[in-house]
Amino acid sequence: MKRHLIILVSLLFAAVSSFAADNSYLLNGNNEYESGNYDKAIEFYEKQLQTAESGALFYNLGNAYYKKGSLAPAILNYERALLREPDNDDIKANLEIARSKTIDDIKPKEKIFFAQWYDDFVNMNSSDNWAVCSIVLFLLTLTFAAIYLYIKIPAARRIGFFGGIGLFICTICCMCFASSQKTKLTAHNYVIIFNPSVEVKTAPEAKASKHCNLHEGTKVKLKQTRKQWIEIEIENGNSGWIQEGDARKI
Amino acid sequence: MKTLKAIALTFIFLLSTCLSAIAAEISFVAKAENVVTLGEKVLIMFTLNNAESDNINFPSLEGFKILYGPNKSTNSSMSIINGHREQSYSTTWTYYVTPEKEGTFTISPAKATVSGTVYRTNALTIKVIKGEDKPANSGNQNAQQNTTASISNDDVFLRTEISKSKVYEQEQFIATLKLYYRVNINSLEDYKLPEYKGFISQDIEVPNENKYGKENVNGKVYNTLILKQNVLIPQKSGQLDLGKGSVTALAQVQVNSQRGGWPFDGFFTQTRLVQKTLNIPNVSVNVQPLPDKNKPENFNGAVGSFQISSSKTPTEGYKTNEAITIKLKIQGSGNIKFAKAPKINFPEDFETYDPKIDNSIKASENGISGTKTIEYLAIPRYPGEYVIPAAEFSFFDVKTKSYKKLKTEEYKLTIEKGADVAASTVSNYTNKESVKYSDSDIKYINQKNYSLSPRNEYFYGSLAYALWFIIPLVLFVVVFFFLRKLAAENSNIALVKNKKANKLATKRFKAAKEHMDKDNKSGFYEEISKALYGYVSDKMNISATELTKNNVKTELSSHNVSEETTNEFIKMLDTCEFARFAPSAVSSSMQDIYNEAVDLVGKLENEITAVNLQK
Repeated sequence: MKRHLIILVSLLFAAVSSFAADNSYLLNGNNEYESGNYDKAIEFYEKQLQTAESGALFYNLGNAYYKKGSLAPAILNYERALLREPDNDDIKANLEIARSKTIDDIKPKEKIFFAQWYDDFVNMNSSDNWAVCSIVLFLLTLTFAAIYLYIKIPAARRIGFFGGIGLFICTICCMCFASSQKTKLTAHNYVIIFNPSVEVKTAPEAKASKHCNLHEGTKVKLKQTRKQWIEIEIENGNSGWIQEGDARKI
Repeated sequence: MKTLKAIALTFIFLLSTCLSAIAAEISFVAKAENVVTLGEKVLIMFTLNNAESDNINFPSLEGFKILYGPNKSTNSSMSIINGHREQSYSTTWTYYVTPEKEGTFTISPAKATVSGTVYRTNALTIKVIKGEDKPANSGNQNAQQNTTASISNDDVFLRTEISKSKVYEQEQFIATLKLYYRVNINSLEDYKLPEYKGFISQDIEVPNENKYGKENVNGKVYNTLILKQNVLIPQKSGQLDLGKGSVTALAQVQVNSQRGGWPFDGFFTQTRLVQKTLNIPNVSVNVQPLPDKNKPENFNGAVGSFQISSSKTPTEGYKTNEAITIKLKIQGSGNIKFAKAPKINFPEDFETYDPKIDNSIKASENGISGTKTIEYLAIPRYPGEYVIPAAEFSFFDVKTKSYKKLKTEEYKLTIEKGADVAASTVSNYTNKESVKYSDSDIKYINQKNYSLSPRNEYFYGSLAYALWFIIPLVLFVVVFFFLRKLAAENSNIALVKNKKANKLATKRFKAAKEHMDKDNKSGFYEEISKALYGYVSDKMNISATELTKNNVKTELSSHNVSEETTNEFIKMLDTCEFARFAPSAVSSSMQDIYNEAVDLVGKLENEITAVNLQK
């Protein structure tokens, strides 16, 4: 019994001990960016991305693309950075600037205020942070349970009981948030238009009639994929088909 | 000095006149009447202007018999206008010929070689018509003419000729209003020309040399004059009338004087002006509607025969915000002026303007023909690959009586980013809220955070994450059950002890009784005191070492044992202790003490159990 416990605990620490990635490419990329060699910086950042990632890495890569004048890759990388660090003001600001340079001005559907609040609240933390939160809250829940179980003072027991229930609910919420943030990262529900100008068709055929035109850097929702075509939903609610090569998943 | 200047001026003057004389244009022209009657004498002239040549090739005058010629004559003239001298001279060769048969003959150009350069005349076309049937008696004709002071309809009349009597809607044809006359016409007035209702009409300017002609109508040769020539395009189908009209002519009629015997009668004939209203008879045209069969969708009324071509400027190197012009040329004959410009569907990212249409159209005796040039101007706003689709033009071909579809070529363009694209894009979208950022630069890169995580690995849902829940929970549960078991075990010991307390006490009492029987006092008291202590210790769940008299007192009272019993119990303990160390000092017998102790334990038992039951 004791031996099993020791193995488990050591496993836990092994898993938690932070992933020590080689970040030399990131450092090189930053140096090149500082000296204004954006092309080389991009090269280094992209190489770093083959093995590891972080919000800061995507953000720096976005900056390098922006400085080079490539709007669509800049926006793509800012969006990816924002998914990993949803509450980073720098990323938000730069994404805003990059978006202001795009051609399409699509007004997003307005959300109901509490849906907006919920989104803002969930976006305060990344998936990993929410996960850590849930663990801390869970440990607190156990502590309160212990208080309830082993302390004989009635007031303490009451606090332990209700506090424990409250903390447990919070734990579940945090897990949900972590899950939803992770889904955003893994589901690739949005794409960025990469071609300077793309014809949105009404059906997944080259001969289909044109619905509208979209331009470089516009973010659209991905609905489904069929052969070489993807169905997209523009933020104002319209949908149509474009070719897969015209856009890239966030 | 003055004389020198004068000489220089004179020289310059002379030189300039020389130059001007040289500059006069050299030309070689042929002239003859267009229409002649058989047997008539025809004059053909070849004139060489402003040059002299000995090497001249005259064409063979086929179909004509040369009566006389060539006869060379020269002519020169000089004029001074504003001190500018102009000199011209010409040489004319003249032939007199007579046609040998009816028909249309072409005389090919004559060639003249002037200092190495060959000049050619125009070709001549001469139509030879049948001559008038000569009346047998010429005097008779004379008499006829003398007696009538008026003119008949045979002498002068108007007629409208149409080039086709059966046409399609929108198909052009020529209507020519001709005056036929055998008398001298002084003037024409009071024109009431047909209105050509239901047609679009376009006047043809007939050059003067083509206006006049000769025609043989019913054996009589008439001079003809084209009054009006129009291209007509019918706008509806059915039997259409061109309409009637009239023109008043003033004709000169020769009248012999009535005074007889005047010797100069033969020489002097009087002329009189006679007014005559000439009617223009109606002519009707059969207009067929255009067939519905195979009618193209984009047909917009062009009828005739056309060709289409397109070009684009610039031919390569396209950039955003730089204009591209597609030039479409529709060439041919027909109702080209009214044909609508075909539409070019430019890609949506092109800013387009209304096309510029330029008609260069000529109406001639062959109908309306010319070129319609349509310029489509478009400005690409965004870089990319674009296809400018072909323009389609369809028309009804009157020759094959079918619809024809023409297509220009499709253009594939690669638009590159122009220099000023960013600025214009921003300025185009000024009403976007976010533009306010455009003058501020992006925030600098993040240089604080160098920690990286493996790609596509997320803490949530990982094994580590699960373990963070599982291990504390397992630990908690394990500890919980461990503690509970401990507590359970503890409570069991106390209960057993409690239950056994009486039995143990009884055992001790038995031992004490044995000691009493042997009269072993110290042993007896020891057993009694052990029995009492043991009982309390077991009953109260207190270890024997912790047991003191004070302890016992508080413990007993806490178990609701009455004070009386407690005091008795303590007194008993005191007695036992005292007796152990000084047995003789104890007055009461062992039997009494034994009974008392057993009673006491019984009492305690009762009281404690009573309390427990109450609880």
